[in-house]
Amino acid sequence: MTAQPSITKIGIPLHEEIRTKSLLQKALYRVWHDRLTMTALIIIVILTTLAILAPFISNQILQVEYDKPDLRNNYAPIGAPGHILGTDDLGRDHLARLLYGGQVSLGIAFFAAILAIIIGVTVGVISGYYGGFIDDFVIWFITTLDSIPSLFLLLIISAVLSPGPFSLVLILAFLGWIGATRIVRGETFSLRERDFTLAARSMGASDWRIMFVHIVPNVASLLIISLTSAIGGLILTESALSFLGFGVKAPTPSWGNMLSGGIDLLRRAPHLIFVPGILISLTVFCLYLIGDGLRDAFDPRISD
Amino acid sequence: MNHFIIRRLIQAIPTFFGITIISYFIIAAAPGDPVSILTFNPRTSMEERQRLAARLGVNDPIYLQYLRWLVGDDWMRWDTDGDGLSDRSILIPLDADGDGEPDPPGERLGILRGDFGRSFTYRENPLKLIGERLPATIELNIATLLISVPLGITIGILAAIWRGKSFDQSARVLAVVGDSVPSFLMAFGLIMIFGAPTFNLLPMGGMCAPVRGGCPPIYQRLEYLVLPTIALSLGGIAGWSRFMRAAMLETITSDYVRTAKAKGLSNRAVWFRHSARNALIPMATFLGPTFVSLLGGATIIETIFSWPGVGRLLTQSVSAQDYPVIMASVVIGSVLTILGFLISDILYAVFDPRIRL
Repeated sequence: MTAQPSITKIGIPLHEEIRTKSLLQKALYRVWHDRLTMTALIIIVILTTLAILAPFISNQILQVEYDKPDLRNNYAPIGAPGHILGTDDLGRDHLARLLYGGQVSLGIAFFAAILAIIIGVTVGVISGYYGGFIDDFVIWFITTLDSIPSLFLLLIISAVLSPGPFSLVLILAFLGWIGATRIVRGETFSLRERDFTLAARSMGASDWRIMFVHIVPNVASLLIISLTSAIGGLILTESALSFLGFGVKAPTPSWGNMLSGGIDLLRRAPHLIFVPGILISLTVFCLYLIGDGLRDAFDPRISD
Repeated sequence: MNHFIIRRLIQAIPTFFGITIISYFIIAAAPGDPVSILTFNPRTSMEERQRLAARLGVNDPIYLQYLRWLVGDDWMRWDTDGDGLSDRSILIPLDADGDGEPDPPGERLGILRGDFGRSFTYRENPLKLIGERLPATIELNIATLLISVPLGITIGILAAIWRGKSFDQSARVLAVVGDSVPSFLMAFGLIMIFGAPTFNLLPMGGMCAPVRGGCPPIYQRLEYLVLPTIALSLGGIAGWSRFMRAAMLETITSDYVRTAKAKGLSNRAVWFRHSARNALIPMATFLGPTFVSLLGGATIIETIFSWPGVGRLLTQSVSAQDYPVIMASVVIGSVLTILGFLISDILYAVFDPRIRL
């Protein structure tokens, strides 16, 4: 048989030619090669790991207890013997409290953001898919919640409930789902008119199946992007609320309420204010950078 | 144009009622009952308490309580023959306390007529308390807008012109930093820097030197405004510069700008006369959200710098569980927010005839 012209002849194996990268693979590739986003990601991973390991680190490595006051040894400076970052106004080890505080602050923001996205996706896809009266009601509710300054709303809710960490997650999620709803609702409007939705419907798929199996995966990339920014925003909100004394309450440490000693603390031991403050800023900064990086990576208009 | 404004005003009505519903039902979930707050006297008998509870209507279904809070109860029961006892009523039984005699007419006017009840701590009309503190908050917010809007817009224009250059890069980093540093940390940093004893240039808090009879006019106490304004402005500068940069980039790549360039206009004329002017239009929509975030941000800054504004009144009332003042601040704050969104929409319509359909 004479040689048939084949693609392998010019040096490209056939099976490699066919295989194209999915949107997700392309995005992951771009993120992997984006140095700034990767740095931010590594910092977040380190901070999260340290926070998760807080009990181990403070018991085994630092050999201190984060909640045991020692009034003879308060306001120790940075580098004091046995206390790397000094002690606070009640003589508790500052580093250990920062680790546990990270657990609380990061945990609240993370779970609240996840819950908010779940609520937001469900409401958004239902409202965008069915339209009509349901959509009108959702839009009215969203506009209303948006018109109350969110810190005011948070303040009255926590005044009424005086929340612990768990109810704070619920409260923040209850107020944080609007952004995701807006995104998903808008996308659903266009996706429900596409051919693949029509195909699914003509094959007898139920409304719920079309919404959650066919439409939601198509907005997943948008959700991942908004998740990172949402976590950052929620860390700021939680810290503001705890700083004012209406979020996580002492003695449970959070990065926000460790700052709430305010100006008196600032005069006596500025590091007690600035270390948690810088940790909040650094975490939020990295999360925003990751959000920006993901937005670029998932942008189909940028091709490589 | 008038048509547009009227339509937007009508759209604001359901939003307003939504706000009253949400805030009322949140507060209604609060523990503690108003009867025990109103009757401090431990010798008040159980019967009297029950009678008071019936008069206040605390045992009624919640939607009825909400309606009374909203529109008052003076018109629900009224007294036609002028003997001080009601003889006609809607929604409420004439003899709520069950003592066999018709009750005197209600006295509450409802929040729609400005009756938020009486502050538990100050023993005054909450609206009066807010009215006293509103000028301070508005003063701080206007000072912040005057700093952050021009600065942010300038930075945004320059960053778009020098896209990808070092100015653009540093402006972007600064914008993310401005977004991620909490305003209270910013405030503490400023206090650390300017509050050092050797460097005692600026006052660290308050709105003026403590004198009797209120503060002097604003131009005599500008130094008190400096630190709170800076602390509040940085987030705004970040937001405005980012938004302006995006809008400017959009106009720079549009057809009419290419035409202007093809005509042979100088870069400067194209940037500032053609691009920047059109890029400013969508900025109007950003005024509303800015106003909202300023109200929230001011709460924290007012608390730190002991600025006698509405935000500090709110945090104090939340600590004291002073519900009438909390409700009044939330409703007034939301009304201001709705107004802010309304004004920014109208401005947008004024500047951009395309959306006036």
